[in-house]
Amino acid sequence: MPQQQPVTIIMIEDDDGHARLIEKNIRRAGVCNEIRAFKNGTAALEHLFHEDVRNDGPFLVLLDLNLPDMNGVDILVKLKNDEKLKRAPVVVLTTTDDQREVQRCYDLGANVYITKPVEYESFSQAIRQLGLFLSVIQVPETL
Amino acid sequence: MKSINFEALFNASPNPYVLLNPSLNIMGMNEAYLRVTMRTREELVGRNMFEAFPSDPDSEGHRQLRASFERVIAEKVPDHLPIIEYAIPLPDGQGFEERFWSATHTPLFNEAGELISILQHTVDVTELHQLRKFAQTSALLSGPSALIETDMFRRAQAVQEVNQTLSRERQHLQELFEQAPGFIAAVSGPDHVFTMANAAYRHVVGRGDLIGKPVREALPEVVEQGFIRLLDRVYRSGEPFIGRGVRLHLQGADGRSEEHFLDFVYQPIFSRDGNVSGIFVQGHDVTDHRRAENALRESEERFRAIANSIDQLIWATRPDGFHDYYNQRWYEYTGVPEGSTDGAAWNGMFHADDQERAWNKWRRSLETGEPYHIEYRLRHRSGQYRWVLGRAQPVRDEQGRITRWYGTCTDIHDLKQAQDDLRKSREQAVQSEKETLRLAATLAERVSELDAANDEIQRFAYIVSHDLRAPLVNVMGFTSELENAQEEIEKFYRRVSETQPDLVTPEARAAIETDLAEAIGFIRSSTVKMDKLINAILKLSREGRRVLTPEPISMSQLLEAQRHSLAHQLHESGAKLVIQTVPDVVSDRLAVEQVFGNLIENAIKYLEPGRSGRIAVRGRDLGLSVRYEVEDNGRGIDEKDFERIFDLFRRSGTQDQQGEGIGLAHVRALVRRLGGTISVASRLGEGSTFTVTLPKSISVSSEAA
Repeated sequence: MPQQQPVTIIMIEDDDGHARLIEKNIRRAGVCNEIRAFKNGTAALEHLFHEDVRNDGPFLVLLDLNLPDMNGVDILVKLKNDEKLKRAPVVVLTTTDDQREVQRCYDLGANVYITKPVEYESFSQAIRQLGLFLSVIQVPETL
Repeated sequence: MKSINFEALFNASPNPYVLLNPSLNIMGMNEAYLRVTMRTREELVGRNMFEAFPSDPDSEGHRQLRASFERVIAEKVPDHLPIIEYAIPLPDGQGFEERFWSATHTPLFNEAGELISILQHTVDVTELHQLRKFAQTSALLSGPSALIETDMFRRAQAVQEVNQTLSRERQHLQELFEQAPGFIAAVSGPDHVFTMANAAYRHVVGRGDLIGKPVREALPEVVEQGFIRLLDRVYRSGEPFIGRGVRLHLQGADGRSEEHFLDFVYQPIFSRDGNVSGIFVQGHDVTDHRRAENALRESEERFRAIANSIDQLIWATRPDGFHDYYNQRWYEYTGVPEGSTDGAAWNGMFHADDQERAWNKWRRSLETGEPYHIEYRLRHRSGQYRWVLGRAQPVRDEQGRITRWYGTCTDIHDLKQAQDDLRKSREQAVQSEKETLRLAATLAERVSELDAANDEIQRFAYIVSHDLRAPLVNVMGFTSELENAQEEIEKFYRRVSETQPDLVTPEARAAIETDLAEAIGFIRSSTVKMDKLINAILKLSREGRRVLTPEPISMSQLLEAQRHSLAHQLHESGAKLVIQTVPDVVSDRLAVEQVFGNLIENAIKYLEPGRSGRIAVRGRDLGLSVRYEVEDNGRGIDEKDFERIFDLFRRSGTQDQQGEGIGLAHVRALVRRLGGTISVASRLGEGSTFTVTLPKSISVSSEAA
């Protein structure tokens, strides 16, 4: 591995509650990586595409699809079309389990798709599993 | 009977005779003739008369002799030459000797009446003639006898001269008659014997041997046709008869009867005593003319018959447009007296509003020669103005000048009326079609509005369910966090109770031991329920957005598959699923599966306890649609709930089964999307029958509603 820098978690989530719950669960899973939280797509993209940030990977993107200013899918497309950022794994977090939407996200390069369930246990379980995921992170380019 | 030797008689006669054939070749002669002409038999027989006795063709004697022969041949009557000067050659070849002769030429006929020879009886009167001359020049011969002789001879000569003049005139006349273009003939006596017939006459009657024959013999075929009676009448009465275009049948040369039409006159010929001696026939064969006339009249009659028998009104005009003919139908149609519309009076028969237009059009046609074509209203005899189609065409002569106009009027009133009606009804049809189209457009508009609204609702349902879910996630999540906190609080509470029980107030106890757990419990159960409801809405809205894919579906297979996937429930309930005859359908497989899956599952769910369940599925082909029934013997549905059960989140009867009240709402939404209907019939405690009617075949476009 060329880089041994710790992974930075970019969380794009407009719902404060969700953001807080995600963060709590991540921390509860023992993941201590930096989490940068953005409440809308514009701010997140601005940050990620800043040259200093863009070259300062690796990143893990937690992406909510229902954002106030844009659709999360648009952000996903932009990330996956960028030479640098496309290596960052994207975990889609959303309230819908619409199969077409799930499929579409995978087609566009999403790595994991997590439905935000009301059954909290399974949700926190999934988030916690991200911790394992983070330890082996660096998405191969072929993905 | 004792036979007479005519030849000996002939030879012994003191009178000179010579026999000629019609070509004037000498056939024979008697001794007297040889003596008087100073010739031998050998010199004469077989030679032509004018060869045997040559003479100057311009001489008086030559002409007289030839003319006499020709008369005999042509008229077949004897001819006399009282005196003729004709020199004959001397036997020794020493010149000619002047002779005077008196001759008679008699025609001889065979049994068929044909001229076969001419007998000449000639007397040498030269001495007599010389005597007369001598007497004229000298007084030697005197005395009564001489005077008598001389006088007689002079008289004979005078007669001869008159005869010659007459003969010439007669000849001339005969030539004229012969060549006359009209036919000329003369008959004489009460038997009407032909004495003359010119070439035209012979041509008409088709035969030449007429002279000397009575008409009844020469033209036997005319007897029965009344012509002899006619001749008899003229002969008796002395009144001429004038016939015009008289029809006559004559035997043609080929033996066939020919029809002739003759214009002729029977003119009586009176003798000096005032009696009719014969009849002069003169006239023209007008057969060809008559035939042409007849043909013309016939064709005219035919035209008239046609013109009057056809249903059209026909008229004709002079080149200047003056109407001079209308057929009978015109007068019948208009009811006006014949002739009253001649000239330009026809225009008055037209409707006042059409008169000027028709007049101008007619004038233009007359000026330009262009065919006349117009529709106008013509006054019918009933007083009604009826629509008529008028047409006219000019007829031109060889120089291209218009000689006549022929026109027709055709009553098109009924046609026009029908056309009008048709046009009106077509307009109405167009109108109603427009109306229908307008309604259809309105309908389509409404449908698309409904579709839009439907889409909007579905999108709304989708968004709402999402948006509702987001806070619910928080409620659930933080409830869990709360539970975590509760655990901590309880641990802390237990430790406090153990170590410092005086700190625990009854309120704190109640709050921690019961209230907290109870509140969290209610929050949790409520959120679970809310999540289910949101899921149901999501599912419905998602189903509404799904694109239908029509495909042929074998219903028995589809239902068997349902039986398979519901095998567990069927086994658990002990119910029996009977799949009867079901028609196939072209529809969206997933939707149909869900419809029947739900209905059968419901039937299994709501069986009557204590009664073995029986569920039957059957169907019927209705032509354009198919109808399926899912019948059970379950607990049944109260009639007041028949509608309600199809509403979302509504359920019926005892709520002893799992469910959110989505199933039937979902089924109805699906059936409606497939273009069908669903209804229920049921009796409480006896069972229910759900009836689903679907189009036999849906197309993608029918999905719109």
